[in-house]
Amino acid sequence: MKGIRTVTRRGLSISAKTGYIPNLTVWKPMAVGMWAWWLHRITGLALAAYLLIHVSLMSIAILKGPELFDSLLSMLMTSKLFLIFDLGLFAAVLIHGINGVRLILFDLGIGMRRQKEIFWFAMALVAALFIWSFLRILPEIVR
Amino acid sequence: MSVNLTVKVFRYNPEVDDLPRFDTFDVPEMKNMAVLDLLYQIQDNQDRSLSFRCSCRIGMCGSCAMFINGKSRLACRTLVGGLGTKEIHLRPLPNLPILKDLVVDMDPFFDKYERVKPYFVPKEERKDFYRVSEGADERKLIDEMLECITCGACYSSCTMVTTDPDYLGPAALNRAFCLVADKRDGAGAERLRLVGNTDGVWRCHSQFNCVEVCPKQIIPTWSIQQLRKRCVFKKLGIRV
Amino acid sequence: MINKTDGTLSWFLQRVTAVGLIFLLGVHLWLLHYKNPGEIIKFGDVAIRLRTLTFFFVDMGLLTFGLYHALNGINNIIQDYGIGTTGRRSIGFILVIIGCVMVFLGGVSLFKFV
Repeated sequence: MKGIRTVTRRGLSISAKTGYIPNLTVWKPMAVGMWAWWLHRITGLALAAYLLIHVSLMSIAILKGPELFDSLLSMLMTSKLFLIFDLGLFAAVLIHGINGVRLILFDLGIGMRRQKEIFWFAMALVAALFIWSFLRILPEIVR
Repeated sequence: MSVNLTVKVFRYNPEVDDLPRFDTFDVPEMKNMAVLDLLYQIQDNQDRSLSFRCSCRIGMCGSCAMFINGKSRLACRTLVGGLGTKEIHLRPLPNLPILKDLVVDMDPFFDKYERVKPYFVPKEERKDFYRVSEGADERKLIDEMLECITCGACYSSCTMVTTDPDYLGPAALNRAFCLVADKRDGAGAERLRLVGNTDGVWRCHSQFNCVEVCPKQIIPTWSIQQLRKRCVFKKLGIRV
Repeated sequence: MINKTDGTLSWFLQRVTAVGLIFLLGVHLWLLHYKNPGEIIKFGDVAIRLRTLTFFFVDMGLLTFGLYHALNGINNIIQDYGIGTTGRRSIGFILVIIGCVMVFLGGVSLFKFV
């Protein structure tokens, strides 16, 4: 019976398959609120990693002077791969940001009883804005 | 023509077994059968060594909470027909130590409950009773939260409880707010101190799993938000 | 003993920086990417933009708010895993160091245009 084990962590035995990304395998299917939490966390981590790279890269490019800066940016902004990665980044920003607004609404006590509907509305907004950005950047990618 | 249900039950006896296993039982389905009836059937007719907790069988005591087909539910209040399948998977509640089969050790749950000072502390000496009218908003507010039967379903569904063993959990925090919201109670400030830390209200990430599973339709997330509001106001020096 | 730290201020600031970032990031992404897709940004354009007070503050805001929000977020995730007091303190310390280094690096590069 692979995979089922009692895990002892500080004396606590946990019956379900947990490990360090818990409840993803236990809860079937995952409820809406849990999807929101998971998406928010994943996009948050991705954006945090990107931010650290972005700040370092841009600062060093600026400090090294106009030639390096211009060549770096022209290389990045014409690279198809980078533009596609950029779209993914924007998707992450949209998901994290708009779900974040949903969370702030809850922090103000608004809408908790309709949290699922608000999540779907938020995701519709994400989809709409993403499609807008995709259509805007597409000409640059296919050029 | 009754169809047989296939019931897979988590079995583990720490005194005898090295590893847990799933036992499969065939149980004839009866009309309006609840999962608790299933368990009685198995225990009476097929395997007397099966262990599970139950008491009132009408959703009032909170003893029979277990993990049924992917979610924490009360066995007595889960109708087999409502599960929409002939295959039933039964596991003990997650996030709690297993004593045997479907029975979990509720001590960690109640230890955390105790940590929030879960009992009423009178505000002052009074000669007469408080008068709170029947339809008053404050009464309705507290009545909702008072419904908690400490079944442990919410506690077992919260991811933050799984990853942080010291997190108070939805039930304890709901109880804390139930008392903080009560104008007759005098220990509100102390309770805010007890829950206003990173193993208390600040650990909740509004996942809403607790709301999904509560058999009494309580919204612990809301109670936690109300506690957070009071903590922030206190920190910023704003009087409520 | 239960590990307890008062998380009120950090929770509150996380929300404050979040709201700030919604506006700042919106401005940043629109101006630099979506207003003129396909325009390649040159050093000279950046210099012109950052010499104005508004955009200097927008970019400084992005730097500070963004780093606080991200590193505080990571700290939150670490806390979710119930690490002991010494662990929390060390990780918190490391995150603060990373934050300061980044703000310094970013700040120096922004000040280059002033």
